[in-house]
Amino acid sequence: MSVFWEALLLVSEPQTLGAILIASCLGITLGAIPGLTAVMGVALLIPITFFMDPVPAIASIASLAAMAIFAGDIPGTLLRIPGTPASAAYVEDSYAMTKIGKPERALGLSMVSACGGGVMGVIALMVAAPLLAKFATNFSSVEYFWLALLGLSCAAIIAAGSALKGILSLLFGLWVASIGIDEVAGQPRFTFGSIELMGGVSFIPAMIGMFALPEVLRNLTARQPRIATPTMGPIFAGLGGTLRHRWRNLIRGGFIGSMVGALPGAGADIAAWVAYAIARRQSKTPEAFGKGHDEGLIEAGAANNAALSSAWVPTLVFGIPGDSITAIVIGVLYLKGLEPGPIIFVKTPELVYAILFAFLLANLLLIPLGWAVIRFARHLLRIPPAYFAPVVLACCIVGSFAINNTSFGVLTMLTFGVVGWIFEENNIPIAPAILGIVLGGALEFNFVTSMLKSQGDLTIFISRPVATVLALIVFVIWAVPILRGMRKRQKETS
Amino acid sequence: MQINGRLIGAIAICGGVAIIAGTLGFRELPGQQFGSAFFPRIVGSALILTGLVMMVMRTEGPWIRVPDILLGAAKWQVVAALAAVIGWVLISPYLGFIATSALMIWVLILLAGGRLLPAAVTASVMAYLLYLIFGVLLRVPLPLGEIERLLL
Repeated sequence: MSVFWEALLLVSEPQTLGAILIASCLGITLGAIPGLTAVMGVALLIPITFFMDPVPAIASIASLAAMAIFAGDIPGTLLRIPGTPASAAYVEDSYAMTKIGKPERALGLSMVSACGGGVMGVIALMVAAPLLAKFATNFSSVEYFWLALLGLSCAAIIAAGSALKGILSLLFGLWVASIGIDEVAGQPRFTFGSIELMGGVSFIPAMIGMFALPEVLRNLTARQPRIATPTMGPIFAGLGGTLRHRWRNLIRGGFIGSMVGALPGAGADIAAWVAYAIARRQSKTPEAFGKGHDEGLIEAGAANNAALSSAWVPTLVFGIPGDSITAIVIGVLYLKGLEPGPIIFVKTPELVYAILFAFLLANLLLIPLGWAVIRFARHLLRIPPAYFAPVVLACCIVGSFAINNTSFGVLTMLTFGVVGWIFEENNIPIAPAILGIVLGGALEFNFVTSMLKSQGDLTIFISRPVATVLALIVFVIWAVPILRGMRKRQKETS
Repeated sequence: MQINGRLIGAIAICGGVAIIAGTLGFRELPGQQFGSAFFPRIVGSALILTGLVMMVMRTEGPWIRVPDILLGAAKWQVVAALAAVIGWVLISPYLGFIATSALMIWVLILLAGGRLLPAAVTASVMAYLLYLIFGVLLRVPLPLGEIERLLL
């Protein structure tokens, strides 16, 4: 009980509450602007969190992400431009409501579903994470090696559109992680004589470059038509009746989101699409979907934010990110000296619970801030990319500079930004590369430690029951796409 | 810039070979079975393997295709944005953070089709706001110029 009390005290500190409020306002504004995504918002926030204590730092990331994911529904509803990929699942329904003159109904439903789903996701996180952590406290370097490999495999193979391109991205990240002085042998690796590279590639400028710079370039070259936004009626009118009628969709969406989000590498996008498909299959009027129907909107909207919360389960318990945002969070936890994994629940449980409470608070804040941004949305949507893209670029520059107070960070951001842009242009996912940079060190350390323990005997990796199960899962993840590819090739040749 | 899958595979192979070649000079510790070169060599080998698989897979289309958006005037905006970052690194030690950032934002807004006066206001306000957040509140030693010296 004292842990909960300590956690509540940590969250109620003015610094934490202020960070949550400011990050929420920032997230809801960024998400509402077409072209700016939650991941990019988080990437730009990281340099600021660098100067904060762990709880306000993580709480602000969680708040910004939750708000931006909901706010992504606003351009989707009013302009048919989904603000985030997760909003794309139900954009046809929400836009159809706008066309019949009821944008406030679509946005009101999205807002309440996001809040409900988010709270369910936090509850799943609060229940599942400590239980899993208790089980995982007996893990050794062998299990940690498999867990790191499992996380990397999920991100590269399951979450990526093309497994090969996902692997390519991951290998790039692993190579980047090996840059710098090898701590064991004191050998500089791939530093090309640069003193700045001796300490390795700075994660934050690399991440800002890969996630934010491609979006800046895309927005600078985008031609946005003149926007005519519709007028908005009262947001809460008739909302209670609809939700009383559709409570099953809300609960099911929250549940699906919590389940899918907890799978490593899945994330909110997949959760929203899965929930929408299930809502349609279970509906008595599936033909109405895509034409302004509320069932899919409520269910996928709830799944969206629920997945965002439950993606933190594998992140906090095993150090395996659930999506791109939690991949960044892992990097931040390492920077704050908090190694994600079961030990964090033993060493600093109050910090973990404080993060969970902050998540809950952020989801509850969705209603008042969501209401405000919906009222203000017409003005936000009128900001042309020509004005905000250069400002975002300036944020990227100052954020990269602030980490080591040198221009080298800015050049790192630029280099990784160009790589990220080429990756995006060629449908090579960026998240596996970021994960490779973050987890590469841990993967190498746990592998070498295990090999030294066993004096080079590879069977150590399957010497314990949990390690064997994890090895089998990793094997299946890698084997399935290979077998599928071989079968496809066989079919083509025959 | 879209690159054909086979060309991506060839680049991956070259990258893998370069990584392995780069590890050849790493010194080994006596009695240490897994030295500094071990992990990068695995990564390099995996890159070569992935590249080979990509090269044997059937892919269509030209080797390199420049997207339509970059064939028009928009390409200069991309070039300008990238050049602006390098420009910021080179100029900011002399002009200071606020002037360099404001100038960069102003030029980029104008190039993207913004209007002169709103662009100038946006650029000045945002550069000053970033200076306040990072330079004053977070105490980041941003490049100092005449404007910053006046404000201090």
